[in-house]
Amino acid sequence: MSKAKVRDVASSTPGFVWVGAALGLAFLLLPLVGLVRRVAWRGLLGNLVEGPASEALRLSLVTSVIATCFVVLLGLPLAWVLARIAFKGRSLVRALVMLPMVLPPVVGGVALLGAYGKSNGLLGSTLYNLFGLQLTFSPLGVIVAEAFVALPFFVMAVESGLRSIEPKFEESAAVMGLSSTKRFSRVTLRLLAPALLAGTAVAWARALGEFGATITFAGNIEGRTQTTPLAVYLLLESDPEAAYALSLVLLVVCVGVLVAMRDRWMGRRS
Amino acid sequence: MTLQLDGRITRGEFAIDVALSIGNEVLGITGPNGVGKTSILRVVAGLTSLSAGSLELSGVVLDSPTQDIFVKPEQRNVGMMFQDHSLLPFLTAEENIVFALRARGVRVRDARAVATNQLEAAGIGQYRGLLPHQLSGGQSQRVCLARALVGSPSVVLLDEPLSALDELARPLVRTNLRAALQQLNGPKIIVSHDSADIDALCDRVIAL
Amino acid sequence: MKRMVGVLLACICAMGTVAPAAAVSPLKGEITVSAAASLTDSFTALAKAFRAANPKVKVRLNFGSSSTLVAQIQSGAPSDVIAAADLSSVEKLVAGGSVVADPRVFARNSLAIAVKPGNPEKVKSINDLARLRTIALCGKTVPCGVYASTVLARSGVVINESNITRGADVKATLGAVVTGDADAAIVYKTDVIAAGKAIHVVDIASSSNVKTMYGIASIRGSKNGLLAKAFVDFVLSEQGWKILKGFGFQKP
Repeated sequence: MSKAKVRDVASSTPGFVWVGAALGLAFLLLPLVGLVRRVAWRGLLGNLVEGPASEALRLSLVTSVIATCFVVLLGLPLAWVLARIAFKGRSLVRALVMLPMVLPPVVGGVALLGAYGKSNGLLGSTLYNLFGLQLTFSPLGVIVAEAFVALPFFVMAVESGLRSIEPKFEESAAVMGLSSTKRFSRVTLRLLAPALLAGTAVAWARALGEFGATITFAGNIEGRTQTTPLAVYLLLESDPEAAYALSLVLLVVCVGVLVAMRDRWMGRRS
Repeated sequence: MTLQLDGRITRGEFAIDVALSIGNEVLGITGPNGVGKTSILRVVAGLTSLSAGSLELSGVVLDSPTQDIFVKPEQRNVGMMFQDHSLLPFLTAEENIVFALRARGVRVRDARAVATNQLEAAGIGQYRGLLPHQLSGGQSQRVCLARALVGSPSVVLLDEPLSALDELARPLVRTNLRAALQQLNGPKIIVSHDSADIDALCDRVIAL
Repeated sequence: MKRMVGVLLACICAMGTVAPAAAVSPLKGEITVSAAASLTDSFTALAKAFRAANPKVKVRLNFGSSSTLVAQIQSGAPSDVIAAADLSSVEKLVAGGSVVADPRVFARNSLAIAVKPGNPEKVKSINDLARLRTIALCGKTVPCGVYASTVLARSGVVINESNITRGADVKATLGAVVTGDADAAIVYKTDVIAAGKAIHVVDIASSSNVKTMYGIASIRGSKNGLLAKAFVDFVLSEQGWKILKGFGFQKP
């Protein structure tokens, strides 16, 4: 039995939209296919487990996770203030918080040098003179650079999530007798969970892929600051197979994160 | 227990002066949309404050701008049902009621028993394991109602409690609600458009 | 020796061809020159002088590490001339059949150490590098990185890999000291001269230093082979050498 096709004006799509979408999709997918084609599957595991590639993977994993923790700790209160507290100049502050997202990463790295550089950074020289702490050329510097570029992504997701929580839930919880701390932990955080998760995932992916700020601020020291993207850049000449193998790993991780989030970062509820 | 409200409620450009005195009875409030019925409930609950005057419950001042007194909503022991259903979307119907009981300090096991009883008594026991988005408008409203009445509140506030129910379910729910309200001591306020609801449930009415 | 004679002959021929060529038929067209990062300032000046002598000509300069440039050309990047910081880079192209003729040496260089102005870490020689916290070197497969390893080995200095930050090319490596927090960088002598007051120079003893050789060649398949050859000849000419010398390069 054939189903009669129901015509629906709102969902009809003009022809040129199909063409544009197909072109756009091809534009994005072709490079991904090209990358996968270049991978030498036979020696893949060998390339990844030995030498600079494995060092880079390990370093990337550790620094990106720590950077993400840092981002969540700072980003959550920041998102709260931006979402819930109306103060003069809030739009300006929000724009500044979003800045690292649109700033070219290398420029971000130069900015970080200006703040935390040992030689003449605003805070950096003090940190070094007082505590002997040098962020540049250290894994801690990698974490700082990654957190710097990833923070806006987290704040954006969480602020949007907070704004979409209707006041009635927290009000109802207040009338039920829950103090503000309990309301936050039992109601707000649970309502915020999807946005928190999405923000954390996006921030982590961004931290993992960071290159420009890392190489400028933390340098390129094998085993200490040479993260996976930096390793790919250098290996491209000396050991292209290892470079493609590493690129594949990054690609798989990013695809994995996006699939796991399943459109939640688009604001759709599960 | 007597609730005394004598003051002014200001919401932006809009302000109304209210004077109420409610004992152990059910007061109905009717009136057109936007006139401030919900605002009165919000002031009694402590979600907004008066701009002038005072609110007292059995002689205890809950809200008085001139004396700089404001008791927070979590300290007022009010049972409230919102007009637009505020069941927590990540808890089932039963868990929503348990949540309200636990907020008042009831132990988990006792809370679960009470919750089940309440849902059964309201005739919606079979929905207790469903999430709010799986319930119909009428079903979730009945859960909200049950939740507002648990835990021995000192004051009960119901904002359009039966609006989402179809004509078939209403008489039963009205009767049950009337009985439940009789059993609770203290001032009770119901806001409603429906004159049949008001007649069945309220001891007296104010029209704004 | 043979090579020196060959280069000398090439120079004499070049001297003879540049001036008349400009007078007989004006060169025109556009070429892309891929040049090592350490040639940034000198080749910009060379291109300018070449253009002054041949107003209808446009020279596009593409700077990067020699290893990157070779990789680009091998993947088919449309370049007309390659000027690399070592001969083995160009040899790779010769082996692949990408160059028209054998590379010619047009300049030599040696390495030096750059530290922060005022020499705060009191670096006196290459031996002091072992005690510094962060040294900037070029990537292991980049010519200046290879040269640096040679110099360090010759001096008997061992630096822990965890103290070495690797730059993609010599300018980035120098940048780590100029704008960043690296304590020292090993770069070409010409780079420290170009950096002027931004850094303090510490010389490397000639007994352990290297004399690097810069090679230039035209690339096969160039759309404007004549112009490419003319540019190569210009670089090898007396006038070209004068410009290079001004930047601190040593005689080929």
